[in-house]
Amino acid sequence: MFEYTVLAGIMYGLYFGLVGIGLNLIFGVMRMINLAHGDFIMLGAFLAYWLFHLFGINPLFVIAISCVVFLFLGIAFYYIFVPRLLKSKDPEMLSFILFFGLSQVIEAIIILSFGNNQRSIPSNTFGHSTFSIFGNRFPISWLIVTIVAIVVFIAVYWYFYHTKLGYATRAIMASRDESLVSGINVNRVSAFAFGIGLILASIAGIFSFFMMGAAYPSMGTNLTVISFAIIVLGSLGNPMGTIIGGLIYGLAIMFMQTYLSSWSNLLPYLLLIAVMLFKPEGLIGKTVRSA
Amino acid sequence: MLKKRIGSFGIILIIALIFIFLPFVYNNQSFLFNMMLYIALAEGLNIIYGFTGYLPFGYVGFFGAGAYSASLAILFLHFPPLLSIFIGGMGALLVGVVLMPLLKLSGAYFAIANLAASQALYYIVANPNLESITHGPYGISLASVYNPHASYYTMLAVLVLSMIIVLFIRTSNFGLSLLAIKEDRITASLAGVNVAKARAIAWGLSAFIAGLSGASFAWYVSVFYPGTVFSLNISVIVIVFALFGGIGTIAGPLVGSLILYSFYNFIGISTPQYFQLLYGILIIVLVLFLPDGITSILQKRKIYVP
Amino acid sequence: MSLNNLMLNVEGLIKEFGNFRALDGADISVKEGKILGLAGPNGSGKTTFINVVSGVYKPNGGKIFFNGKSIYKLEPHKIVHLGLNRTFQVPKPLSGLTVEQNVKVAAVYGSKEGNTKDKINSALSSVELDNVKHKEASSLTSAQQKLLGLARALATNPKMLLIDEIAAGLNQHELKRIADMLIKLNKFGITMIVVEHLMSFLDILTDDVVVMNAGVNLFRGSIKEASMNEKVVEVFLGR
Repeated sequence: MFEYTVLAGIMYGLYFGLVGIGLNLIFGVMRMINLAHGDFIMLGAFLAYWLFHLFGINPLFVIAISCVVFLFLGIAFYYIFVPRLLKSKDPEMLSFILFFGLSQVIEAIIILSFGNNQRSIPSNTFGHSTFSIFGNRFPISWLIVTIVAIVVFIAVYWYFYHTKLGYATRAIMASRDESLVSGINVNRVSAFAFGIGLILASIAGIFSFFMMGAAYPSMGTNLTVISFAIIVLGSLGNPMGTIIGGLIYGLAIMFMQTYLSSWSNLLPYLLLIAVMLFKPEGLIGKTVRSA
Repeated sequence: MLKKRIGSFGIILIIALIFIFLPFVYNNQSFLFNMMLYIALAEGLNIIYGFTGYLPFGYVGFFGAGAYSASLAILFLHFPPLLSIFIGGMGALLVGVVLMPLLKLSGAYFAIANLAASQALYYIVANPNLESITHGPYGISLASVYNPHASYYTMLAVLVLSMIIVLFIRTSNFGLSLLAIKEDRITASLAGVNVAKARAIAWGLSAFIAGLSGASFAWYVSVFYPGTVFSLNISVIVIVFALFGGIGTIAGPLVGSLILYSFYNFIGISTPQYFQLLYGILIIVLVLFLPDGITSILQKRKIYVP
Repeated sequence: MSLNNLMLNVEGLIKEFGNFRALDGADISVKEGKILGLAGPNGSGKTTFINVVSGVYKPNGGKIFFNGKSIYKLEPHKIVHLGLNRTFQVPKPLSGLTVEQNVKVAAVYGSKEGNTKDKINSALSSVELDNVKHKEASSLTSAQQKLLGLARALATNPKMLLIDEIAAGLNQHELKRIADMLIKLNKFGITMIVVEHLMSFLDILTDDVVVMNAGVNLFRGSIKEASMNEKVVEVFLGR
């Protein structure tokens, strides 16, 4: 039982790292909390759901489609909202409220269009087989999701450390002002990063069916809070740190579900509050705020 | 200052008279009750958000805590309703005291931690393991003390109290010290303001008002579920009403609630998502074009808004 | 030297930021009624010293006595109530409030003594801001915002002020005006530590200067002696 819990926790943890990483990327670049993050995850899930049920497209292929769709969405949203927000008197707070409004709009549009029902993609989409580690059997879909998560992390790492754009993104994360004077096209790079953040959210959404059972239009707020707990746990503003946060969260939730299941829905909230109060700089890395 | 106080007091008096006599000529009492409820909550939120800048995204947590504290006082301690309403306010105040460390967090961090706290409270209250105390997910029935008229006027008293508190803050040195904290915490403390204490008082008052409101609501509807009184929508609606009117004044949250809740009721509530959509768009438009609410149009023209 | 008339006495003050020691055992004291100049290169710990003494930063070690009482790790508002206040190098006005309201907060909460209106008026007139008292603080020039910071500090009835680089970025005329203002305030009995880059400005105010470097006090004496001190010259000219 213990061994099973640990293994499942690691797989879930990597998935939850994927859930949070987009939020952390956007926070790192713009110092804004995308409160609609969970709703973009939901949009990714609905995209996958419709493509699967209407055209039989395998969720793995949806990744490619969502890269195009959400990059476009992200860049558009960035140029509509962010430059104006950055000029306002309190960008941090106003962006928080604005993205909350956006989250309400997205949720309402999806409910009005498709109804407030749970949607799912059959868990045997990737085959009926299971796989086993040390004698513990898991559904094959978990393995697929784990591999997807790891590949995504490697891709994000590659983007940061081996592409020009990623290098500029890191420069902006270190100091927006200095990047501006050093000739980086801050708006273009940030818009792209915003798009990548949304792509990452959508990929987490595509695989939500296999890790969370079902997707529904109002799942967003909850996922945003969970994502925020994860990125605070890891390290705010440090996307790669999200993986650590995800793993801690995954293990914690698995242990709660195994040994204290009736209280497990409290976990993300208590974890979030506890970390913010006692270890606001995250479990790794340095603090990013002076309060 | 005195003139301003009298003027503001006049507004409170007019609002009170309207809600005292309107039920005699307008028979949709539940609309009037909810209107008072939202004004009181918007003013309560205004105390902490408008004067100190802390946005309590989990404001509904106090509302739910008030509803449950009052209900438990009625059901288990067999307290009379009015005393139980007060207990409701105290229950929310207690939650406020427990959450006080959150005030160490700044800006959006505070908002999101407060949101998490209200959700945690909801999951605790709704947990089936606590059925013997909170009735878990099955909700509360106060049928034995059901009294729509008495609870209506109790809500009116809470509304008046909330506006008087905001009036006091708006026109007192205490309010000035809160604004100083909002502008710059360090400068305020070097002006001699005990920042932690002033913030805590505003926070406590804000929680107390929400608790009284939740308790009055519980008495008025007399049957409710944890999801009813801990619904994030309540936080959302109240924040939108306050922002729309403009925070930091008595008139802003009042005007915002009057306009938007009338509008809400006018269209009807058959498909709540249309309002969610509308509110969402309204939030975005407000943040981008009118971040200080509609009353700021007057303030920009140097007209005093009470 | 008797300890009785020391207004501020700081011993072995330590402040760490992570692994970096911004203050590494600074010993600085001022006698009642005097002005002490505090000089030193950028990063030598002058501003940190003010931040720690005024309670804005919490120290990591040492002793701080103000008027005979320990103010070590005391909260800023309590230190203000004891009669010690400060100004900022980069002014931190209450931007959305008027000039008068800015000073009023300090007059009401900074000290119980005296009539609020009188305190506001005298603070504003001693920094010559009475003519703009209904303006919003954010609309003032940077120099005026510095003066507003000084007015807020004065409205709390201070016995002592810590003045942080008030002359930076001002022109000759403004410099002279501020120097006169500080001298006048000192004559009224306010003890001061004036942190300053410009030796010429300090020279007008006082003949008692401490030079800091790397978080400790390196030298104390007159400005003339400082200019002849090898270590001081080395620190200022770089090595």
